[in-house]
Amino acid sequence: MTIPFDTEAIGKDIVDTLNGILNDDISRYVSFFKSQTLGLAKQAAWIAEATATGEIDADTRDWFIGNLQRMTEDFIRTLVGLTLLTIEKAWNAVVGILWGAINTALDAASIPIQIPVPSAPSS
Amino acid sequence: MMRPTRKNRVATGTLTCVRFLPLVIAAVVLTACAIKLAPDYDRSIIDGITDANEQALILFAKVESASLPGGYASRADAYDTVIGKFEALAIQIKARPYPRTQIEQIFGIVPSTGTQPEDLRPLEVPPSYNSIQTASATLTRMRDRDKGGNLTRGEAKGYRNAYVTSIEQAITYEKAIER
Repeated sequence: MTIPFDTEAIGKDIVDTLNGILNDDISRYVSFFKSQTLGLAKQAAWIAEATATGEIDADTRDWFIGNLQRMTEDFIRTLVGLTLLTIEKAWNAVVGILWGAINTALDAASIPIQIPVPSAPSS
Repeated sequence: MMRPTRKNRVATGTLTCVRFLPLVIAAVVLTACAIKLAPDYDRSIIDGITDANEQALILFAKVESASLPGGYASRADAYDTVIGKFEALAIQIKARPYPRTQIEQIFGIVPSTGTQPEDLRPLEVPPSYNSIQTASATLTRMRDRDKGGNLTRGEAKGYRNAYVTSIEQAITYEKAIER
């Protein structure tokens, strides 16, 4: 018995889906990246200026330097978190397409089996 | 240099996807399990951040229009309220269940028996937790300087910029996990 399974169509579906996910996420986060890098650069410039003009003393300058480092680390953590979300979407979309294809093929061959996609672990 | 056209960009993206496709399929075949790499979206957290942010921006507006240094007493309650809200939010964000390590979820194994799964987790807590803590620390420092009669308008500008950068990180992440 031949099971109908269009591998080229499935491959194309995966490519199109991944392209869609990547393009959506990248365009969504570009404004965030721009805004963050501008905010961090603005803060660095302000610290330099406030130090040069005597607006802040050494203790306050040191606090702002430490705070800038913390903000930069937080920005990188956020980038990692957003990247993981994109990986999650891509992975789950690919699993969904492949499992869907298996079930469609089995159904077309009148084989009464439905293979469930395992759900995500909750913790 | 010629600017890439939309058609070229799409073609490049497609090529990239095709290049990695065998790897993705191989990895899927290995485990074939849906994964979760971020905590669940919680509407009450984003509502809480929105509310606390509004209070913080009102506080900044009061500080910037005040005759500094001095006048802390009139702002003391506002400081305490907003700092308290951010501290409560940090606890709420951290208390939310966090997914298992990514390596464990994707491959079902831990690479080395000597390595604890927790050590492989790039984020111990959601990134918004750190950003909220940083925003709260910024407001606390500004309060302490104000309370001591040392806050100037120029210095307040530095706190505002720092605060806005941190809160944007938290809002972006918490909104992104609504999937």
